[in-house]
Amino acid sequence: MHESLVIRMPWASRLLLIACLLPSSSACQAQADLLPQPARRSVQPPRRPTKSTDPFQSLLDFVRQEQEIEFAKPLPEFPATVKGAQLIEQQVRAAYPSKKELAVYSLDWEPTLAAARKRAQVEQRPIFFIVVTNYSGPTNFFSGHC
Amino acid sequence: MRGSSLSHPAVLETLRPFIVVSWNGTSTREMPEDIWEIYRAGNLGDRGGAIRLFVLNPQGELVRAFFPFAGPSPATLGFDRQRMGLFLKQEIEKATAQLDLSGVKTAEPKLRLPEVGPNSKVTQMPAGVRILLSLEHPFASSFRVPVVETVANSAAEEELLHYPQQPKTIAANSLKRWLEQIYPPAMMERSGRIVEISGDLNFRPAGSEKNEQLAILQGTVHFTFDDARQTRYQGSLAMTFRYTDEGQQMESFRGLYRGIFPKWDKQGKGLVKILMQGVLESRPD
Repeated sequence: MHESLVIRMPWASRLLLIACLLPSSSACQAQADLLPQPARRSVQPPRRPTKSTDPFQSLLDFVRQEQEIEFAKPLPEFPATVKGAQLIEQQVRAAYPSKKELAVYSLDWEPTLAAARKRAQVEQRPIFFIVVTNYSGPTNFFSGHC
Repeated sequence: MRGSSLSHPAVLETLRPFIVVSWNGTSTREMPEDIWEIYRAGNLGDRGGAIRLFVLNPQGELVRAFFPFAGPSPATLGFDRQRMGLFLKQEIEKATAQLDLSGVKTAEPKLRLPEVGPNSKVTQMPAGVRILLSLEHPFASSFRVPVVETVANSAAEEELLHYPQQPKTIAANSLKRWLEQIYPPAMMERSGRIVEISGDLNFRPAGSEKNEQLAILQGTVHFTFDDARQTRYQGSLAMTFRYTDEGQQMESFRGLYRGIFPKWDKQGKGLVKILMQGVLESRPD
């Protein structure tokens, strides 16, 4: 789950998620038991586990629903004041992806094979070359729209 | 691959001695000669998907070519990031076993995000914008790593975003060059681009702080995406702009986008909602 998106979760959801991620947390089971359980339609056991029978998955589904509600809403109306402008900047900082999320950009990228070859020779380093041939859509592996 | 195995910590460490480069295209017909040479020498066939990987030695010669996935798609390893990462690490190590990397000096890993180059088309605003789009898909791993796009600003944005002495409305479409970056990756249908943007954005002066004049741009943006269903989606945008010289010179801007992209899952799982959160920032700092 994106750290920057978790930041946008409502506090209640965040606390539930944190409680559930704690090792050996009895809070996890306790919280999961509090979640609404679906009505049992049959005495036959389900053929495979479903979202509703896995407490941890139920919790994640709940958090996900909360996120969807949050993302469907427009951003709050920011007042046309210095405070309003600063509030937007604060929200931008909170939404900024973490270093961990952006870790592919810690690799030593070059924009072209020719440039990579030139440096490789000078620095005596190998090249890792990624070739993408997508028949549709814009493709840019480096930016991520691929 | 970018969101799964490539960003796996073990793969990142394995790739530290390497210089990394990518080439993208819709077919091999577009390949420049130097890339086609490597591609052809790799002799990988057609069964492993659209991504092919090549390890070259410091002289630029092919050492080994392979696919990033154990089978034709990430599904072979159950879309499991851990397994996919370890598979890719092993594949890279098969190539490095043939290389002497003992003398390679690697710098401390440092983030180097896509950057806007020098831009002489604008003088009264920053050279460009960087958009970092974080996505949350209910089950696909290909969205884990944010998309990072840059756009060089033009005279059109400079003219449009002059400090507003009075509140005014601007059409979202007039910022199309920025906003058309706000769509999820891995769509792979039709042109996979945004074909229409609409909506009204309120642009208001927001007082002064020290020597800077502030302004806020806010509103809802509507998009039409060129996929099989011509998907329509919308999101909310709020931005702060900072100016000096009594509003003559824009110094910086920061903005936030938030919305949902509704996508029909091809594997029959129905409609999935991809959560999108974008950060827009002026570049360079």
